[in-house]
Amino acid sequence: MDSKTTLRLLKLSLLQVNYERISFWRNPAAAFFTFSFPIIFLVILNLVFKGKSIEISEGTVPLPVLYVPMIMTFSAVSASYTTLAMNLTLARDRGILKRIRKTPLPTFAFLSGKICHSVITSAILIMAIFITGVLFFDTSLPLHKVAPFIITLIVGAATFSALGIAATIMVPNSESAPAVVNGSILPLFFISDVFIPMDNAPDWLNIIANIFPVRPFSLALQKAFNPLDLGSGFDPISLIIMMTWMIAGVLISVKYFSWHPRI
Amino acid sequence: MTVESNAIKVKDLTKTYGSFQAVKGINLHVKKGEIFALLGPNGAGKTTTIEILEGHRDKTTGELSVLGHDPYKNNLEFRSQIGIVLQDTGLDPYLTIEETIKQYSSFYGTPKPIEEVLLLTNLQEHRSVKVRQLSGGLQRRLDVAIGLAGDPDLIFLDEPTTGFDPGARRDTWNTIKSLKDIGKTILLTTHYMEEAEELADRIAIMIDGHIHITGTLSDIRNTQKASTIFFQATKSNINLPNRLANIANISDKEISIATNDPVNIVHQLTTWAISNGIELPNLTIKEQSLEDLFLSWTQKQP
Repeated sequence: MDSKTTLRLLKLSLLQVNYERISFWRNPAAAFFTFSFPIIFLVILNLVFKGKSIEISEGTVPLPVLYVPMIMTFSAVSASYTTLAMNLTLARDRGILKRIRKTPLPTFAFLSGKICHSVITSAILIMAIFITGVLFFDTSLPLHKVAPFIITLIVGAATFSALGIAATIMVPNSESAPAVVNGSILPLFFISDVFIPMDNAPDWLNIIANIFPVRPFSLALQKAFNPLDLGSGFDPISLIIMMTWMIAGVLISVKYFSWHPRI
Repeated sequence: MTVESNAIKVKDLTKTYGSFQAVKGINLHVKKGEIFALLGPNGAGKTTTIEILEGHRDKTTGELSVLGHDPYKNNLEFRSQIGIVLQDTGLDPYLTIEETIKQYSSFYGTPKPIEEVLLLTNLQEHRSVKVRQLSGGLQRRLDVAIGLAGDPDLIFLDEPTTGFDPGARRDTWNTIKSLKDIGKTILLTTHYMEEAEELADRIAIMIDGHIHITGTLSDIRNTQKASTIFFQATKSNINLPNRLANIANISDKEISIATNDPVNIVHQLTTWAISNGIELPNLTIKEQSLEDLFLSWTQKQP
């Protein structure tokens, strides 16, 4: 691919991001809840567990040290996996995908437009949670862990975007999208260190949780925020698990993604 | 090298879904610059045919070439040259008409200027209305506008006016005619005879997966018994000479003769009547509309 083609592809992708953005903000209720939901979660968790500490393998830490990265995981997964799966299923049912398919817009530009928009949404959300954490819950991120933290987020966003696109394959139509999409992700949230720490869970449940990509994502983010972790902040095993899922998501999507409404 | 004069060529095309054969071996060609109408009742296989020509579906057997391409390969060059208006394709409900057209224009290397698209589809005054607020007629015009956005050579219109009120239909017809005026090739499907009569240079009538007849409207009339001669039956004129009685439909009240050669038949009839002093009350020649022909064909089907 020459540089002119690459530049055009980039420009097209950015244009699509912009139309996604316009459309997103024209539905203010949806936009409001996308942003307020995680913050509300964080505030409620803090009210319930105010001043409490928790024992982890390295020692005792204040609870927000766990909650802030957990809610970040929740937000990033919701903004990528849930949003993309719902949005694409709806677009498929409305025949938007069918229409786009027969225009010269490259698939890459179309999907990257959607993915970039959800990544930007996640990034804003994560920033908001981060600032809330620093201002109200005394959490902090040491400077040397900023890069591992951002890389983990990027890998997470890419993984759950790929899985969000792949998830459209299991969704028969947009009426069933909320049930199928939430049904596939909510149980994982519960067993994956997103709402509750899993230290006291039975081994078999931990094994299941470790196979799926949500828990590795949450653990990797927790590592960045954990003041007792003296390492680099990278969690290579978690990143490898996520990337394996990302590759699987991409391969499944390439093979089975449907542009036409299911009959 | 000869210049290809056909935009679309189809030979022995079939499409089977499971055990159901929707398209049963059709042949057609669409010339560059013409409006070609694929006319037929619901369920005749029109949409399947048009979706194969657009490359949305693969054929089962047969040969086809659309602007020199195999549409199902879906290559970029092919997609840049066609515009599609389907029945079941949607749009982002939160974007305005103008934003939507701009978005689709951005996909093409050499799009038609937005203002021209708005003008052709008569959407200038509605440019800032959001898609979700559009009436059916406006939505369809926006569909046509998007089909034009890339300035395509060939435009597919699948039932462009189904469900329209007469005013909206007239508007859309005018848009389609102006597309022909600027040199576009148009393949449209419809189940409205008057739409085919109003717009099409050539027509193919599709019933139950077969193309029944193809040609210009006058070709079709000529090959069919497209005129009917009527007169009121009386005691004397009911005894027609044999050669007329053989082709006439005689009832107690009325005698009718369907023919594609009305001048000759009227001549025979009036010569016979005058020389025998027989009256032919209310003698009338009626040209059959395409609709009459169409109904007679669809009713022949089991």
